[in-house]
Amino acid sequence: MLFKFIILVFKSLGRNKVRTALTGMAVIVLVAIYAIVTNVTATVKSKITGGDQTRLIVSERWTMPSQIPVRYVSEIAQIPGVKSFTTWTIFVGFLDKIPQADRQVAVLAVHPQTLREMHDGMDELPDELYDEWLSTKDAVLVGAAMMKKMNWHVGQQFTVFGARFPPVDVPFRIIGIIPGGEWSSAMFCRQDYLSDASNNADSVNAILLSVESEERAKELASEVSKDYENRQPALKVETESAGVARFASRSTAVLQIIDAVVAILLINMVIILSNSISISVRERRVEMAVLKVLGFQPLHIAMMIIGEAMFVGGIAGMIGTGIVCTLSTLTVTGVLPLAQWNSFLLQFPVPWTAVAWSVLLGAGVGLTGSVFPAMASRKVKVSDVFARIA
Amino acid sequence: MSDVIVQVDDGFKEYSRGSERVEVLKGVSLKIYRGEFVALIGPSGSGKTTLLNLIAGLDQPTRGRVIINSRDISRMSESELARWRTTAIGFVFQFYHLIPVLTAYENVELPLLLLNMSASRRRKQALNALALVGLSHRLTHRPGQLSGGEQQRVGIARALVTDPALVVADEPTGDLDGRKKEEILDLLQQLQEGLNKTILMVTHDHVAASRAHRLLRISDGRLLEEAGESREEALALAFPDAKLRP
Repeated sequence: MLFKFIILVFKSLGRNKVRTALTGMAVIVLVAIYAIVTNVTATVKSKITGGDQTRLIVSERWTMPSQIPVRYVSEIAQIPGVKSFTTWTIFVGFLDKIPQADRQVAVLAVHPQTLREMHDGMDELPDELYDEWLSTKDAVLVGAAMMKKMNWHVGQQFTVFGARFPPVDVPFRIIGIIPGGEWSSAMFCRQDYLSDASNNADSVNAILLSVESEERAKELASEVSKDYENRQPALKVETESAGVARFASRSTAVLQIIDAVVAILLINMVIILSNSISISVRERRVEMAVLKVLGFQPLHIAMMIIGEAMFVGGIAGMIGTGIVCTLSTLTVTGVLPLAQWNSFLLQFPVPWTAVAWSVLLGAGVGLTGSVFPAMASRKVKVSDVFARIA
Repeated sequence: MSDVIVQVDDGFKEYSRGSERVEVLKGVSLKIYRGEFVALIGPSGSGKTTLLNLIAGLDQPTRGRVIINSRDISRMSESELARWRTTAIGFVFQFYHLIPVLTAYENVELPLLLLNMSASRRRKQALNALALVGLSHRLTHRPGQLSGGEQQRVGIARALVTDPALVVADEPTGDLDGRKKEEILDLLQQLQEGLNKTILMVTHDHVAASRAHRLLRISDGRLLEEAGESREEALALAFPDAKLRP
């Protein structure tokens, strides 16, 4: 009987296909927006609360952009407790001599030997590619989306014309594509090469340290901050999560507004579904009366209404998030050339597990939105309905 | 025909219209026997449909008793009535009221979903009911693909599928023209004679009323049968302008 009941619910949705489709589409759009927005806030919040406490970022205390003397790097890297380190220098420039905004790029120069261990996702780099990285000084690794955007291919050479004074032109050779999605729009080059090619072997932008334990990381942060407090330039040390939190603290109000928008989205979804289901219930009063005459209990009829709403909500939730996940995946992997306008999804790729959650979310919204119409359907009085028809 | 299947004792029904109380039925008492074909006739607003609703368990009397097949349904709760209706009453509507998204077969099968019954038995009963009304060839058609007469046949099959002792029909030919009307009346008569079903039909139509064994004439909430008039006299009184069948 349950199977037949489900069929009945399913068929009932087909009685006004246009309305069902429009309701579904409204929920699809809202769920898609909900998935993107909540993914962003959840990612930021998880970075703040769940960030790696053994990773430390060392940067210049008072100046932006940070310029740390290279001599500091070897000093700090040798402090007991430091497991590994890398340096970060961002080289910004243009792909043509005449600067054009859409041809601007940023290459991240890193310590070549620790590329895999110091950057999340880089451990997936194939051995052959990593060996080539170590042996090729002008090597550059490019994210899939960036490759697609620039229409590049492996083996291609290009030159970045530095945007800062004094002008330097640095040629690079693409040796491979960065695996995974996190660095899909990034470019990595070797720090030693950039220092030589740009005639700047004196400074880096930041030092990233991997420390053996959380306790040691705290001690080390304190020691370095203290030791370098009165040197020129002075340094500051913070955990990776603290860095994110500092950034996020400036955006707390924005995050709160986003949370409020998410709540409004949910309420909106409930209202849309509730309205649509209410119209449907009003239209089907006679049909419900007939079902009651045939022996259907008020609960049966209410369950049918709720079932329809949950079905629409669940399917719409699945489709909405499915679309976002597909776009996100295709963008991250560079299959779709969407990186230019879809860079948001590149930074916050929506996981496929969100689809399962969205089915539940959609069904939950359907349940909430159909409670009042279902209650109304229970109260349909057979004699009143037929008296009106007569 | 001595077995009483419907008994209404001093049935009253009042409705409130704003602050005003409207008495629709004023002490109706009647008996209908198993296998009878009874027509309930009377002018608009006389209380026909209200009485039918009481007998079908769709409404409760304000006072009095309604006993169907030896069971007092006047004090049953709504859910008890719903359960009872599934097997005890078959209802035929004027406007068919089939579920538009379901096929003819699914519409007929619908009441059986409420009974504890195997799928194969359900299928057999639904097919039998459709065969009885001559629609075995229209199983997969939806109501929109059927003529008015065919839709009413499906409605009758749906009313019969649970094998109820009593079939109530509210203006079953009210939406049909001459030939289709006759076909439906023939069908109801065949069911009454062949299956020994008790049929209670509300009608405004003298042709439909003339097919019944007995007429219950109602006026202003009171039953006039007790006046002792014959069937022909009752027909003539109810439809003075109609040319009646012999």
